[in-house]
Amino acid sequence: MSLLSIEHLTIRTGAQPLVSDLSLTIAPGQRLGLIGESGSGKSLTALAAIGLLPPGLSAGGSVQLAGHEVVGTRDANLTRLRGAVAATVFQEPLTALDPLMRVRSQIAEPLRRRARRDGRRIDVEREVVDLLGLVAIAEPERVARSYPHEISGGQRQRVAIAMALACRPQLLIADEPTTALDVTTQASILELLDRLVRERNMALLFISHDLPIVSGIVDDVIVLRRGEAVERGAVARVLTRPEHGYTQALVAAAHRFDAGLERAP
Amino acid sequence: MSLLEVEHVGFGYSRDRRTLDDVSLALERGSALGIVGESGSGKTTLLRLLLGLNRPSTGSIRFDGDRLDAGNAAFMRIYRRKVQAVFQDPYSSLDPRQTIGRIVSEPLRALRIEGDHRGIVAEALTSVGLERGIVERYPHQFSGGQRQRIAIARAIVARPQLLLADEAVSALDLSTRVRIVELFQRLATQMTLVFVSHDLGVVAALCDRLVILQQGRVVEAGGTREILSRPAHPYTISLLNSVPRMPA
Amino acid sequence: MTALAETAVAPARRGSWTLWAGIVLVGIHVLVALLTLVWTPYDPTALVGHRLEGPSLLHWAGTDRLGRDFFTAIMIGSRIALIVGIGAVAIGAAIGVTLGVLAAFATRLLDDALAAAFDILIAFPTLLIAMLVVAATEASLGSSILALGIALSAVIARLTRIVAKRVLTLDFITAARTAGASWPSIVIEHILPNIWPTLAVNFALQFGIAVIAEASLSYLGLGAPPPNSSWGYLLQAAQGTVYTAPIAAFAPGIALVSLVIGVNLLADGLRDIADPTRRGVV
Repeated sequence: MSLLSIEHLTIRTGAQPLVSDLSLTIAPGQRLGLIGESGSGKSLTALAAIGLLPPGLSAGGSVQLAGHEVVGTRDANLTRLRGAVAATVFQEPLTALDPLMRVRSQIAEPLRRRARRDGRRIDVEREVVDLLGLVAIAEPERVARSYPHEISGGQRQRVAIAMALACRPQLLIADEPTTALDVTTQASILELLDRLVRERNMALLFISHDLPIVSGIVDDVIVLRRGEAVERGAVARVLTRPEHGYTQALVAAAHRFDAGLERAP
Repeated sequence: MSLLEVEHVGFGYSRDRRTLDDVSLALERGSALGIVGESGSGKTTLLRLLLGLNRPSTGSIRFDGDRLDAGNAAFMRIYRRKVQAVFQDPYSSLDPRQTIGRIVSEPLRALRIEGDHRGIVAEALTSVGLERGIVERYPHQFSGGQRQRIAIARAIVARPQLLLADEAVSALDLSTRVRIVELFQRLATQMTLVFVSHDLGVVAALCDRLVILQQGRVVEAGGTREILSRPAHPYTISLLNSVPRMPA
Repeated sequence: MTALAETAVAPARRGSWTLWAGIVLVGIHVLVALLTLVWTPYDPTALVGHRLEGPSLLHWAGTDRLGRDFFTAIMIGSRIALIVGIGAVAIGAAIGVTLGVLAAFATRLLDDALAAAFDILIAFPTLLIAMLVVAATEASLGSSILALGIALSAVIARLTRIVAKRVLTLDFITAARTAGASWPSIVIEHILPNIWPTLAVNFALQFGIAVIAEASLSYLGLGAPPPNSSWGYLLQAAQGTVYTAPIAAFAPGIALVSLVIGVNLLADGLRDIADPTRRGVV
């Protein structure tokens, strides 16, 4: 059974469609990328997958998380699915974390919830530190005691990833997780995501506008344009031999900026 | 004589942590210089110093041989005619309550430039690829890429000699980014360009010379092709290694 | 198991009935006020009937304890209230916006000092400040307006400082400086237009506060004497007769409440219209 199954998803605001007739599936352990520019509907799709569409939008079609329908379901019933099946990492670490809570309290929340669900007793302090170590944060005790504004952007994103992992999800949804970070920090966060997803056999839905980044971390990709899927396939094929005109233009643009970075042999 | 000379410039708030430390660079007329740095590198502060919005704590900046005196109003009025800027965020760099016409003509009014303002604004708009008829509309009616073109039109309307761009394409989509970079390439043939960015791919496409900043210091400087193909400093090497590449 | 029906996530958008309701309520008072400039049912100072008559065809709201027509007094109250509200807000805005903008530009130390000064002034009840000012001068319409204007200026100054500082961080201000604009022209061209929507709503709130504060002043006998009597004065005069002639107490109160609510609704509606980004965009 697929972890995430989207069928003919359409999202509208008023009469205007933001996502049109989108279908995709993610099996356990599968890595899928959504490539799109602004207005492509990629972030809305991620929100629809966990039932967090903002008010004022209407959704049609079907979105199923581990077999449970998300569209039209009351929020109270969805909270059990979120975290257990899918967890999310968003783009902006500064707003994803509560500025008034210490890091350890924010990680403790999903940890306790998961432990309650499993019926286990846990030593919260130790698990928080372990989790911070898992996301390769140096000095985990100090970071655990800190507030979000006292740590760097890269560390905040690692904390956000730790919070997502605390739920032990089967599917990790990452929406532009490195866009707000420096280039050098970006590389280490991507490497971290890659390793964690592999070690825990999670599925990954990776959303980005950055073609080179996507090519390094997923196996298959769907290209979105104004809410419609215009091309899909293995990422290596789509980015080297694109078939749709829009994909070809994107790939050509990416190559323009890639070309200058060729090193001398 | 270089168009711009930055000599041992320092800027900082505390003794042990300087935002800029002993930064020197020279900009030749007609060239396109890329200033590359990540957050905390001091690139934004350097740009503000070049725009006369702050004064350096140590060192000096010379434009065309004359020392940049940010406190001298008369000097700055002349300086601002020659040096203009484009900023990163197309959504906050245009006053949402003003029409495009008023936005683009602001330098003409502020610098008291004479002539047919309407005609000059129309020319600036067409040269950045926009229609002259948009002067009555408001910023919120345009996309990010279009707003950035409007911001560029505003920057070139007074025909500056030097154009400074602060991460001017970082907030744009890939396909829009290509087109705006092409616009900058065209502008680079008419004026001298300084392009501040963290994106090596963009500066590689646009600039013939580079200065790499790390934590307020210049760690490497020289021709773009030389630096990118044979980087010398470890930081430059790690920057290049960190940039994700397209599959071959 | 597919959900084929489109599920609305939540409705958005408040209607524009606020604007129309506001226009109607305020409009009534404005018309009445204008009317009193040229005509009133009776001369406000004349003794035209028996004392404390109930409502009748001749006197729609009856008469007061001296025999003056009550309805006339209520109508004039509209004029007084509008003059007080507009006058107080105008003075408060002139002082407050100026100080607030200056504070937004001030250096750290001066800014902190000004912010503290504003907060201290705000801690005093509006009424108390107004009473102090009126006590220093003589009770008249002018002194009431001045007193209330000063009392309101602190709140307006604090709000102006905050929103002006926020606008100062935006890139288009830096762009204006780079374009060669002087600080005064930046204030007029960029800062004031961008803080206006927030201020306008606050001015409407202050209008209501001023009108109610003036009513309180008059109720305490510190406001303008007749024939410039406001509703507050009428409320005080109606105290002794609230059981025998209840309308004397209710009518001024209803008039007061309707004006204040009307101004607030109007301000909300106008703010939505004045913002170019909201025009026709979801």
